[in-house]
Amino acid sequence: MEHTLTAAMLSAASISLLSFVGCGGGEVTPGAAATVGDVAIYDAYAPASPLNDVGSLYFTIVNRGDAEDTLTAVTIPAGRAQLHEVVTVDDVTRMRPLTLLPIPAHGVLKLAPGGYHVMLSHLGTRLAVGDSLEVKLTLSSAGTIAFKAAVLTYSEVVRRVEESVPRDP
Amino acid sequence: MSRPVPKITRRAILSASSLALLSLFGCGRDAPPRPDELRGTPYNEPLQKPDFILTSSSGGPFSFREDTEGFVTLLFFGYTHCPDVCPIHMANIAAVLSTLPPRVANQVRVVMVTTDPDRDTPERLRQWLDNFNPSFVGLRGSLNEVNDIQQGLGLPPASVYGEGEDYSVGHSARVIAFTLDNRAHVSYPFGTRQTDWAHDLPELVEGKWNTR
Repeated sequence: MEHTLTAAMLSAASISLLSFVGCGGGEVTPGAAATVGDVAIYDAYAPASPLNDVGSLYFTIVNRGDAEDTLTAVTIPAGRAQLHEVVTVDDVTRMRPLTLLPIPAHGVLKLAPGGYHVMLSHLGTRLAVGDSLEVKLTLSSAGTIAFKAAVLTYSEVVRRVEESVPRDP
Repeated sequence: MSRPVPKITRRAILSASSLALLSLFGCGRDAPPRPDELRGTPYNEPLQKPDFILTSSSGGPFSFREDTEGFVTLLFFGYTHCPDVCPIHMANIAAVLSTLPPRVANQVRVVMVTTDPDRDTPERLRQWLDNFNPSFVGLRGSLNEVNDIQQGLGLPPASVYGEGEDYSVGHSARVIAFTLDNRAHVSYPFGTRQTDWAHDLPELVEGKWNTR
């Protein structure tokens, strides 16, 4: 039982997304929050922030191009957004700030609880359920992508996480 | 009239079926858990419930040993500027408690001790925890006190990363479950699934703590 959700979640999500996206490339992408060139954003959400300063943001980037792309910046209208990776070494779990995240050619980058996330801080106001958060990503090849992330209750977020994990037979 | 199966064939059947079982259960797990086995991570030596007093999120003193007597107590060290692991852990436990029968859920106390006393006032802890479950208790002490408690439980001390007002805090993401015998037989790492919590909490409340 000594495992985290992350690896399983990532692989399950990659498989389902890859099968969903297929190998065609270039077709209209159903369900995407935004598409620019070969890159599409899916499953963008932020849990309602417990207080008015700190929050988190998750999304999935699918790259259908033949070349790797790189996520270099995330911006939100008010407050700071910082890419993070959660790492655990010798039972110390901490966040490591990242300056970039690669999205492999014909691959997927999934941000999800316990793995990669965007930490939001200095929000000024609470992110409330039902709101949507305007997000802008900068990618080194695809350029700027703007989309809206749905603000969800934490119970909805953990329900999604639970459902994305493969179950024991 | 069945003939005895020759040894070699029996071995072949056994190894074929073990292979099938292994591939069925995957991930190196040798066998599926028995229903009465807890799914938390067992301690080789159970931990004694520590005896400490910190300031609670309601402002008064909270004696961990006395004020959790008679309850299954889930102890977690974390902080409110933690955007990912801490709120997800709390939300997972809250979600499971809301699905359990009240006779079980009412016997479980959740206590979070802040590893960031500089920023986490009792009021802030209270407001933060209210997002998950108003019955969750937040505790604050000096960093030295909190690190001593963690050390006594075999956990690493809190460690600060980054500079300025936006520092983050490294801490163990393990939830320690103390049972009615005032010991902890199991802990739960980050990533513990709701199905595992939902399986274990009633067992712990009923005083069963057999581990694998």
